[in-house]
Amino acid sequence: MIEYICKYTPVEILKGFGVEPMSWNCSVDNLDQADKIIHRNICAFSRALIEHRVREPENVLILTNCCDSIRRVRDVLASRGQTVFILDLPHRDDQCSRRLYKKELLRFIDEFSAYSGRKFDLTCFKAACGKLPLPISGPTVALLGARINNRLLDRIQKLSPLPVINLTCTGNRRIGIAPQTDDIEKLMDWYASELLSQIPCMRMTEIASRQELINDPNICGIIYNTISFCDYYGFEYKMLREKFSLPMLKIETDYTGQGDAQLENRMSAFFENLNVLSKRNTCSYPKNENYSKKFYIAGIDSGSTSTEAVILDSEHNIVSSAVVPTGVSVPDSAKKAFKVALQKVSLSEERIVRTVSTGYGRTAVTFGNRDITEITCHGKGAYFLNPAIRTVIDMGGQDSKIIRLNSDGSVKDFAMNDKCAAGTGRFLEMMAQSLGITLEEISLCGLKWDEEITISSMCSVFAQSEVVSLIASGKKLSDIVHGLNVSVASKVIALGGRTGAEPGYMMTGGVAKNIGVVRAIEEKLGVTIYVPKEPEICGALGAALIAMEDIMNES
Amino acid sequence: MGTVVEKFGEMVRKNVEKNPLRALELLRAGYFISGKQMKYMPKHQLLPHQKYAAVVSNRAIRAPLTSPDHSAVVSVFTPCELLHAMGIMPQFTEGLACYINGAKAESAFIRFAENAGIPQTYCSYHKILIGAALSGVLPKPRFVVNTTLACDANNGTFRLLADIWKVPHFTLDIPYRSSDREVSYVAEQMREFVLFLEETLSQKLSEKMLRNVIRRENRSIRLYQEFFNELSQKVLPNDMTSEMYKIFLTHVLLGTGEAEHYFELLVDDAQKSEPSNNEIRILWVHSLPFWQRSMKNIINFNPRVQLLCCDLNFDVMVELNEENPYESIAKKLLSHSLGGENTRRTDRILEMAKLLHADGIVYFCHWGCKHTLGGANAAKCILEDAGFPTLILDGDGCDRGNVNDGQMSTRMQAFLEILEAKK
Repeated sequence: MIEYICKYTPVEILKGFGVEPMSWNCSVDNLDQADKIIHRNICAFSRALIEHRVREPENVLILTNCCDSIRRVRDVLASRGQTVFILDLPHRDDQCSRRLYKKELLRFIDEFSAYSGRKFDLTCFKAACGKLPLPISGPTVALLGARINNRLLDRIQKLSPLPVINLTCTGNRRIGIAPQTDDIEKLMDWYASELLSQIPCMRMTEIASRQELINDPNICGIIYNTISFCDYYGFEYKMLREKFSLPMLKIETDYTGQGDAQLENRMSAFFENLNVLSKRNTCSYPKNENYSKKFYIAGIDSGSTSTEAVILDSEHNIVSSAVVPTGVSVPDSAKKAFKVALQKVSLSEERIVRTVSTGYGRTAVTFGNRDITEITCHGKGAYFLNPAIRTVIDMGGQDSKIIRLNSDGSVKDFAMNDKCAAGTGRFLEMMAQSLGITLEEISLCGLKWDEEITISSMCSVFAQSEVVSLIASGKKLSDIVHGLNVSVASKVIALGGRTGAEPGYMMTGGVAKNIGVVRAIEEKLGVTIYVPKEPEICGALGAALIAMEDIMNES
Repeated sequence: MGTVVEKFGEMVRKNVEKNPLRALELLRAGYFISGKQMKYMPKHQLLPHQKYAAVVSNRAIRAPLTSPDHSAVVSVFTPCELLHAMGIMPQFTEGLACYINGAKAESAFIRFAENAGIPQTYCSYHKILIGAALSGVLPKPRFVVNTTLACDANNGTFRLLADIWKVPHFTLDIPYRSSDREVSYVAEQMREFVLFLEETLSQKLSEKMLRNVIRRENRSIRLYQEFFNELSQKVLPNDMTSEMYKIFLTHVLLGTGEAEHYFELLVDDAQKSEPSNNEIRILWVHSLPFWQRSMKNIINFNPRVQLLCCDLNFDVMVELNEENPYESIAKKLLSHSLGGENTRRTDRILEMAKLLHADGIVYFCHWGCKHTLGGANAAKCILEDAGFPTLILDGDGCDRGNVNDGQMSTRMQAFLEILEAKK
């Protein structure tokens, strides 16, 4: 078996040798072996490739000189005695680089022939050429950016209401029909040109033709993938975010399945808000004659730290709400919150005609009629509470989000923290623990400060040891807490990006109750932030409003 | 002094976003004053070559800030011979980032870059440069140039810089292999580079000037080799900051009269220095965390520790052929120790470790440098097999917010204790 990873690989030459190479693009369960032999802070795909190769070392691997990480992968694997070929791929696409790559291809033919003992057959090579990608027809979601593993690609295709086209660095490979000549020099001249003139990946010097990827009017939305510690595609995402108005979701993947649940959550929210929303996600419920009379609906937000329930009446009044800690059983916590909310206004369960669930545990809420991501729900809830809101800062226990709203309250764009706890409620919990104070105390303690202390560590773990050092050096508690508030504020503002947030701010989630953090964000943004009376129920409220919309749509 | 710099850094940081021109003025003034201080009141421990390097590097950073029209922003391995022959002062990523760190202002630039969408995992030197350009603090140079050698970040950063400033951009593609055909490929690009410069600057390249640059560079290389031969038997007080200054002289300033004079002083100081006396001799790989107090306390001017050199300061030491300048510059770039396979770098480190009688090697993994990080474990195996104990030290060359200080200093100190025990 011969494996390769890059679209600039001379696949057709390998077919000319009578072998069928396989593009390796799988995720791995963990990176245990890779972490033993290469540094953790290199591109996650490279580490996954090493993990795979350590477990299955027999196959021949063909690489291109595509980036620093892959060059080092080649060194690591070669030093373990594996058979690895590397092609020296130029960064430029001009006459000189095509000449150089042609010579590299001829060198590779000799090298592979000597290795395999096989003869290169020009007829087989020419027959393998001429494979062009199918043009896009009809509304499509484009997957752009860095490569994405097959499992996740498959999942995205299943989640998306529209066909998904893979335009990542491994997709969209184009090799035209080979000229009718048997002169290998001429053929390789042509072939080098074909390989180098493909729509370039971001590693190439000249990238203007990447514009073609998004010019197709059929593209309705973009999922932009980056790989952790592969920095090439962050630049293009930055440019697209600034210059294009298509709905776009940025995700970061690491070639393990560890973050897939969060990714799916974010993608579901993205698809919910695509303008061309499919009918697939809308459930059809039986019509109920009673709907014309007064009725009640419920929204349940099953979060990592707490579970909230909101009851609305048919006049859109919030008649009750409840917040309970999320215990070990998500369904039980949801049920408990629901019951507490009902008991507060002496309503029976039967009076609730529709329930929508949201939050991380939304799919586990067994009594809900359907589930919607908390991104859509927070947007909906925030707009209901204050229609002037354009940016929602939701800071919960395990994640923080910036949700941008259109003037009609629909979600325009959003950003979420990845796996890092910095800028979340969990971060504040860890810091309160280090300082030996409660969450209520940390909320107020930083309001009166004297010395500006900068908590410079980005990482929660490093920040915790920094806090311990500050305590040891005799710094005042209020100054340290203020430093922490500023650190959290910086993190969450960075999430929105410089162009990502618009005036008309609301803060939701449990952290919105922390006055120190709210003040620090206000100061950094230079605006006043609207904080609702009960910021933690905003998601559940949005879920209830969606339940209401469902009923209205049906009637 | 620390408090003054802290206050100064705070003023710069506060102005980066709100008033970038004010931040630039502050930096210009700050560097002007520190340049005077280095010239007239240098630290007493510094040797003449180190004092001179501090002054020359300061000048090299200030010139593009005050006369941007006569400057270009370049990547560290860009061959600057042509720029010197045409009167252009190069400003390079690592140099600028370290100076901004020296002003204790790097956090504002890093935050600016990250807020604009630059990945957090990106090299900190590059994030600072991008933040400086995006915020409008760094004035627009005449053009930007980079090579593809060693560092992937160059491709993204310099393309973005050209787009931010709307200035001409040239990339020198340096292949992985280094046979005659690659030499021709790079030499051809060097000729294109000349045309690019002539068109951008509206002036012809003077062959005579280029010859002078090459002659100075060749004399510098010969002096530098002489220095290493001396150092192999000597002990020469050193500090991390001076070793970073040396990168100016061995790279972007190589070929200038200042660089030649520096190497004369360097040889002179080495000749006058004491013979080696059983001290712990450390060879450093990659850049140095010159700003980190705990590390400074362990390494700088420590009579028991000889910081010999960092490998970036002997990455390529090749004399050029003034009769055939473009081919010889191409050969120099293609023989760079950070090009090609990782063994090219480890072979060069080993060669120098043997020459300089190193007791141990510190392999510094600067945040975001995938080239260095990716080669770390393999290099450690090779170097230790050859008898050189090697410490892989994770850190950051210019971002105070990105290190675990206590852990780093403990590891460094423990490594020195191990080497001491072997003495």
